[in-house]
Amino acid sequence: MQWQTADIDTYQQSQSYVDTALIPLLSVSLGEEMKSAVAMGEYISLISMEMEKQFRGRVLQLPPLVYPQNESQETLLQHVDAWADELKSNGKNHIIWVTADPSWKKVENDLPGLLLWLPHLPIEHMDKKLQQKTLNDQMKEILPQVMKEWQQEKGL
Amino acid sequence: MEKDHNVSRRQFLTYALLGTGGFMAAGVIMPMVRFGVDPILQADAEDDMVDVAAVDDLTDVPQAFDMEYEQDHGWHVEQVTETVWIHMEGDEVVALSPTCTHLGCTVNWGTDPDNPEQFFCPCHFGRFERDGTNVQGTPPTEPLHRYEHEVRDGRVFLGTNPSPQI
Ligand code: FES
Repeated sequence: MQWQTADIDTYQQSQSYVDTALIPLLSVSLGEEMKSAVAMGEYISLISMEMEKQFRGRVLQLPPLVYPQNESQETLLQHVDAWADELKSNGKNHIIWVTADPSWKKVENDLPGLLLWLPHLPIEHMDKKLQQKTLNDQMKEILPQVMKEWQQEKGL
Repeated sequence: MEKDHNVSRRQFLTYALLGTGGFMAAGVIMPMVRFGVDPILQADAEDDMVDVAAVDDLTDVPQAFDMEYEQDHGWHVEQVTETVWIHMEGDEVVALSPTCTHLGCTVNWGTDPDNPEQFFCPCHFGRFERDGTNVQGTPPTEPLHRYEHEVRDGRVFLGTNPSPQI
């Protein structure tokens, strides 16, 4: 489900079925890395939308966690933990973080929930058809990872 | 006499202005009606069917096909791609929507190792028979929705609005 008024009614009626939050992690930079930050952000948004579509009955897609590229790892992890607490106290058993930012790879084990780190594919240069195909292929790899996360009864 | 004359002149002016104004208003409003309202009416009027697959490619095992069409919202046209599960039941084409009737996740054919001959929803393990009937004891309470279809020259055309089959 999406973070939208239209979906939130359904969410509130079927909360016990929606036990997973999806949060994109997006780094923002206006310096040299600007272009790649924008491309990564775009790619991750598309992937998140696709995941929402595939799993909308069990997954609530939250607004992304956006941070300046030079934010310290420690601050970020604190922030992520605060988020996990909020979700846990509202009955969410699973969090899926999705990002193309490689720095999360290093702290994967400190991250509550599942980290889906996806290498950024230059999807912005593809035509619609190829774009959709690339997304579908990506989803085929994501699906088993999400299923595995769900097999652990208590993820958080 | 003088008075009457004045009034009628004023009337003339009023009518003249109304006339021109009305004409101008029509000039502004008509295109708005044409561009704004008309497309919505048209979209309703013609429920175009979309060419999705060749009949020869169909088997009795459901396969996923892409259905691409343009959805006219009146103010903008959106490119839509949807997946449809299509198979043959005897001579009959069956086209099912992949949207789980429980809470809307996407179902796949045969992905549950214990039930290879059924549609499976990964979210809460909802299951459906080949013809879309929901399996009792799993969360969905109605069958998968079905697309209207027509076969023309060996091609399968589908309507764009799947409807409940109860
Ligand atoms: S959304 Fe398919 S079983 Fe719940």
